[in-house]
Amino acid sequence: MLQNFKLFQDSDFVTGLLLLVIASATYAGIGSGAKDWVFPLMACFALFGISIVFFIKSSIKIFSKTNDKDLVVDKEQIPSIVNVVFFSLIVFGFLFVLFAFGFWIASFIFLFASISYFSPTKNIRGYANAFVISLIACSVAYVVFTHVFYVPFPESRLFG
Amino acid sequence: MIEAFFLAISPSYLMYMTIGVLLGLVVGTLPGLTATMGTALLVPFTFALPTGEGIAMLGGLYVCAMFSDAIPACLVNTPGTPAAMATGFDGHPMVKQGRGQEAIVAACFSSALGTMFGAACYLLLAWPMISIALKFGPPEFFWLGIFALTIIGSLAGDSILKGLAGGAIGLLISCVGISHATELNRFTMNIPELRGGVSLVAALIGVFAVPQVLSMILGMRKNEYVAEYRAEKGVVLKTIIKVLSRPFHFLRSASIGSFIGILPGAGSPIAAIVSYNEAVRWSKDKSEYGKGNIHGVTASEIANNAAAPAAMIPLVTLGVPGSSPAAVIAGALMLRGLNPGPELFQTDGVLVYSFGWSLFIAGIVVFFIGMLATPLLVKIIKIPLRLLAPLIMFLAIIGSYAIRNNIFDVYLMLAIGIFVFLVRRIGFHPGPIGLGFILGPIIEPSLVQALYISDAVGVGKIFFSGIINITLISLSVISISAVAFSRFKAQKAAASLKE
Repeated sequence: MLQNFKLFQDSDFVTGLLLLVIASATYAGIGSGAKDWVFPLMACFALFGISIVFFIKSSIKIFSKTNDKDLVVDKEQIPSIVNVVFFSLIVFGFLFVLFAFGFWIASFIFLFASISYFSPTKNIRGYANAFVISLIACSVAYVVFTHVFYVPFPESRLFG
Repeated sequence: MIEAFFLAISPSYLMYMTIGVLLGLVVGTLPGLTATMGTALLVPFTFALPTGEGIAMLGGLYVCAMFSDAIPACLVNTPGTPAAMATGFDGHPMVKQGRGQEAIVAACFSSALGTMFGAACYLLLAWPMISIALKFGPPEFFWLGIFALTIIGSLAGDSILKGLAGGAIGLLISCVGISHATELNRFTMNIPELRGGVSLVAALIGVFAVPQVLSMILGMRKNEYVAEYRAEKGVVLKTIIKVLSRPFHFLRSASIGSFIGILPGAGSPIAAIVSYNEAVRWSKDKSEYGKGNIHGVTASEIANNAAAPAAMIPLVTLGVPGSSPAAVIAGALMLRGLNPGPELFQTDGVLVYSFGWSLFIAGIVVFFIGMLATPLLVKIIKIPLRLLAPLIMFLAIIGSYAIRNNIFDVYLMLAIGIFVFLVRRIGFHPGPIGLGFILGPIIEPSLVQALYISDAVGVGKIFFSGIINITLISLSVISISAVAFSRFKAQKAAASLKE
């Protein structure tokens, strides 16, 4: 069991597995009609071939007991990973509220929340800075995209 | 032609062309806004102007966008348009080494030179060049795409296999949507939005911008800024001398850019990729590329800018636009009752040549405006990562939304971005994925069309005969062999060092 888990610390094994999954999923979606599928089929077989090479490389390392452990996460990296996950959640939240609140409110909340979260000084001054920067960024983006390039931004479904 | 020159340097021509250049600076710098979108949006404003000034303004926007897309590519590793993808390969490492100003000056000066070379081809060599371009059919385009794909060898990083796999993944993503053969839905998973395919711009923002932002956040605890910035005196002159010290490099990149610009459908992104590939292939020390070599930036920028005026050559000679912005300019001419093509040369030769001169002068204007803007633009890297990362993500989201006003493009952009961020951890380079995505729409339709033709005459005769096919196949083989040989040599040297 522990040995199996260690396999996932080797980037060659993970690469082989990932490519195999992509190639299999692609192959499953391929239909009939040579000219429609010849190109994706070529790319799919290339991925199959490369995944096999990575599995062979990984197997050789297992048998020679020289497994790479290049995917191990250090304890020091955990706070940075938490930051990435939290920021990704803010981004998904932004997309979620974009249509509910419209461009202005959603964009402002997104920028204010992320700038405040990453700010090293969590005091009134830090929040005021985040407020001003978010407001300026939203205003510039709004003017450039809607008034110069005529991009219709989503409007609020809640506030009309 | 002399009359056209004096017309092009008249105050009204210069003024409107400069306005176009300034708008091009904004369009290229913002990821998500392309030169095509910019020219299309500007067309209604040109109706109030005389025809010459109107198309000079559109031309100015187009050539400047081909320069300014290098700015985000270099500073934050996010190409402003697909044409700047190859610029970022060396431009961003230069910025990370504290050579941001040098990278932007090199991009600006080489863009200006490339534009002037392309415009000179437009003015002097339009007819001879078009006669060669007409010999390009589907198999030739297929091999051109394959040749461009060989650049993966130079971009793959430590593992060429991971580079190839990345390229194949990019090609597969480009297959999503309606097929080129029988209009069959492919990999659409019954999602109507996927029928139109994955937006190229949104996908490229996903491949380059999102992983960059997430990497910034990952490294935020160690580094406060993208890179150090120190303003150096005399860097402009030194960089210009560096660019001018390689006349053969300039001629090769500009010729590649001009020639590929003429080929309808190929355009600036392919020109930049092929030119970068050739720069690597001709270099004595290939290992320097991808690590901050100034000639990587210039190869890409000279070619993508030379391709812009050259894309007008098939428009004015045959009535066939060489690129999407050229198609918009064709539309602007047609709306005024002018038919682009050989007829236009005879009926309105002064207009055709004054447009060529305007493009030439636009190259000079791009240089001066770029030089004025560079000290300000380079300061972007002085913005702390904690502010820069959310701002880039904000721009990436609204940029990918703006291209088709479709929120689904934003979801795809984020999904591709997170995927690329994760696979970077296991040694994949974003370059080959982006490359596969750009080249897929060139290679696949050409392959399918060539296969249809081969039904009548046989595959061998279609794909492996003719001087252009043989030349492109030979160049592809040489390119792959050169990369394999240099990698073998590098591995051998590393092994002997270990011993």
